Amino acid sequence: MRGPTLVSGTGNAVVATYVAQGTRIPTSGGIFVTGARFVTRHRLACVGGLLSLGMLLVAVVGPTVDPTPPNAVHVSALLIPPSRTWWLGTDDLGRDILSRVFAGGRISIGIGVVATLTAAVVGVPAGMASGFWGGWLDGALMRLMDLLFSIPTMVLAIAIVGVLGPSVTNATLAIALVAMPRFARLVRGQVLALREMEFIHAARAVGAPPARILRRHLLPNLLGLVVVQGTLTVSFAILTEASLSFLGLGVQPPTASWGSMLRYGYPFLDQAPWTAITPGMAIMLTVLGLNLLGDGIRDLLDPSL
Amino acid sequence: MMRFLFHRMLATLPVLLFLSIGVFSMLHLAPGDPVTTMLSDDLASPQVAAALRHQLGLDRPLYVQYGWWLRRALHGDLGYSYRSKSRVASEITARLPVTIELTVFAIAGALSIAVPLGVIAALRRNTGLDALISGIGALGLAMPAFWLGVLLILLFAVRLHWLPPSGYAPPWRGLGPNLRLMILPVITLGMSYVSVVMRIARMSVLDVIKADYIKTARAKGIQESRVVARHVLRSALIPIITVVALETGRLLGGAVVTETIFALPGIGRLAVDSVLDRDFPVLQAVTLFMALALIAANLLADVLYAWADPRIRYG
Repeated sequence: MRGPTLVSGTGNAVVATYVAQGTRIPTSGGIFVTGARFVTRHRLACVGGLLSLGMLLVAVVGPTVDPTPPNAVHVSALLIPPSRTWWLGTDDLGRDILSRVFAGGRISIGIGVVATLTAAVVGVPAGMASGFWGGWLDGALMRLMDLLFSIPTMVLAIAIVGVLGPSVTNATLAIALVAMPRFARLVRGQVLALREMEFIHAARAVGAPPARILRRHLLPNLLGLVVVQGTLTVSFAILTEASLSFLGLGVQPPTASWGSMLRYGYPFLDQAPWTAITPGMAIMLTVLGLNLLGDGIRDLLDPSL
Repeated sequence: MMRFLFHRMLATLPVLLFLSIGVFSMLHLAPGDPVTTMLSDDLASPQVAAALRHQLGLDRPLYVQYGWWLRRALHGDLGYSYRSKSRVASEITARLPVTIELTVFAIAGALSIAVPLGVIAALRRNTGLDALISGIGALGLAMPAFWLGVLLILLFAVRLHWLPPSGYAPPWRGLGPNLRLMILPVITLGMSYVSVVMRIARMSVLDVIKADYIKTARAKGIQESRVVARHVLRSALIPIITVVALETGRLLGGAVVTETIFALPGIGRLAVDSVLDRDFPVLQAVTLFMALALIAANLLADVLYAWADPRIRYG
């Protein structure tokens, strides 16, 4: 009863069946046939995956191959429309928008990922403990979640940033805080359902300590759900960061983020619409990609669909 | 029904209590001293600061301060704005009509477009029309409200000159200018709502349409349009109401952004300004107000369930 045997055994039987039924991956026909079938069956998820991957590349690889520094000011090239020299044009200070989309992507996606990881690292254990032990711990944690849920997310994020002061770190913290209850609630619900299942009873019966049950038996069964929620939360976090930065409460100048680029490009809408259109497009493509990917993974794990 | 409402309100009391403690602590968690924020530099001698601190009760223990604050808040007294020096409550009431007009029009507009589209997509499921409607839905969900707002201004104000780009005119000074200024903000705020409601309307109609009582209605020879209007739509309403209530939080958050883009003097704009000015009494009040609005929306949803589905009886 050690290690991986449980993951493929009773413990993960649920997820294993889900995956098997959901995808119906054929055992013969070679990897290419399997791949082709997978793509036709999950077209939207694949589009989402490609979009997300593309935008991730923009953020990770973009700044390293781009020779122009994102904050470099070119006084002779103010508000130049997209051209051969300036692929996406320049802004009111003569900064290259392409370089800023690259650098801004790193900040925007970075904040999205870090905020989501922080939310998951706190929210998942909280939800697991709450669902597993119940009692006063559950009561206290869930009332706290009720409280966080009772304030509209954007307003709560604004209030947190308002108290802590606008900066990248504080915006990340605020987004992590408002995203945390999503993980905690979801995981708690799933643990409530799982803890009455036979393999958990069995583990208890052989005397496994609670910490081991949580880590070895419950956690593997929650991963699928957490991955789906994580994907959707990254998209939520990117949107929230963009909104905060657009309102002037997130990333501060001269640092580029997609939201702050939109904020400072917006007053030049009539002369240079590209300054606002490009970062907005980047946000939309990333969020669309992540939403499709998240929905796709969910369909994959849910045999009833 | 009244009994249910009473119990439901009673259940929100703990949340309200925690909420009030949370909002109250905001002022005290913030770095910096409210007294130095309030006093201009030339006035800020230690004696004056101490006197003001005593006058505001800031030298008392926190629980005493909380008690005072709560009692005043329950009487509608939310303190004075650091920036404008006027009463916070009157700042809120002055800006309330703008936000109410914006959100109510956005919900009404979104519902009147999304529900029919969702129903059509469900009735013509797996056709090109269904795919088109669902595709627009996915796109609308990914479109950040502020970007949509920017694009709308670019098209309708900057390029076509059909509508003014931003600003506000109160309706009592003429309905025409007011509506012309509200069209773009309402579309901006309503768009993501349209996507969500459309998806849920399509799904719930698909659920209902296979039910036996729909078959019975059809077998009785009732016209298809009547079956949809009287039987299908009515049952599909419950999930729609739930989603509208759940999404109220996002709507209020969207109002913050929308009011900023279109320079509307609403409560959302007040929230942003209060953060930028570090005007904590106002920020406290706006946070509290938005939370109350969200709680009220969920309460209203419970009442509407009973209206939409007579099988639901409370009490």
